[in-house]
Amino acid sequence: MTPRPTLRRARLRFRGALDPVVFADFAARRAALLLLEATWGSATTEAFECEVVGAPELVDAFQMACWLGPPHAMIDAVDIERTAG
Amino acid sequence: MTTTDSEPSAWYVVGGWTHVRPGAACRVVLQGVEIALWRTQAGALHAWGNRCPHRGVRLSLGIVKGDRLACRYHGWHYDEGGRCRFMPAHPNLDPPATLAVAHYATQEQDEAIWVALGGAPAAPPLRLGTDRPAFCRSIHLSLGAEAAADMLARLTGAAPVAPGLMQVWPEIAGSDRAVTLAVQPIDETTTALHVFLDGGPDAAARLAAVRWTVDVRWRIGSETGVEA
Repeated sequence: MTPRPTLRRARLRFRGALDPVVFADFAARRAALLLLEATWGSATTEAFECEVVGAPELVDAFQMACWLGPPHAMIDAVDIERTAG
Repeated sequence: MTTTDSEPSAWYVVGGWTHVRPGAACRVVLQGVEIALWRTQAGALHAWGNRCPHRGVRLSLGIVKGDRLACRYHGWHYDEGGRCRFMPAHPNLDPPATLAVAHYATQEQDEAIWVALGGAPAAPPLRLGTDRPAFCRSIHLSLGAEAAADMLARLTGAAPVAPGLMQVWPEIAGSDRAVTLAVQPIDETTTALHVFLDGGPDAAARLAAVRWTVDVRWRIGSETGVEA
């Protein structure tokens, strides 16, 4: 069983095929819903980067939500780097 | 607490009071908006946006646990204010207040369940009669609300008394009791009609009104060639 992460800050990179504008809007709404403090990085049609800070469980929820959606996006992989926040 | 719209709007009947029992949830649609209608075990009525903020599953499929509604998918619990209070996967996490479901104004009056999609209207819903109106039956029509109202006026002689409400005096169980027809616009091509009979609870009269309603549905179906 994977131990529960305790680090609050995470740098995320979603890789795949996406519309950066739509994906950014989706990620911003999701971060607001999960009460995460977010800093947005580069956004292209192949990758989207951001850094979020919040409860580890909610950071996980953000990661999974962005991995699954929005509908147009096909995310193949997510790189995540956790640090103390 | 959150609502989807701060602008006041109109009340609409979305069912009779038996439409949703204590401890149950069901789905209704008003003007194209999906609503999860549910009652706590104690009977308090709530109308929420029919979508769990977690994974978007319909909350009308959820399970009522006391005074909370739990999503059927991952079991997130929402309190009566629509705020998420518990996540089974993270039992020690205090969910943030931002995790909340949109909710709409509701009112129960004259055995009817009323919902307003925007902010709560300043005035309460109109009365559905003058003498203890009783809910009789709901039917669905494959017509938009305006076309349904036109057809009801033509086939039954019902006259509009207020937006979304019509009244007619058919002979019901040997007397001319007022029948109020509450028109619920579901979407552009579907309407629900909720029928209320004035004159107090009377099983024979209520049954006669149910038969009258079924006959109205049959006549509309014959006119339009579409089974309701």
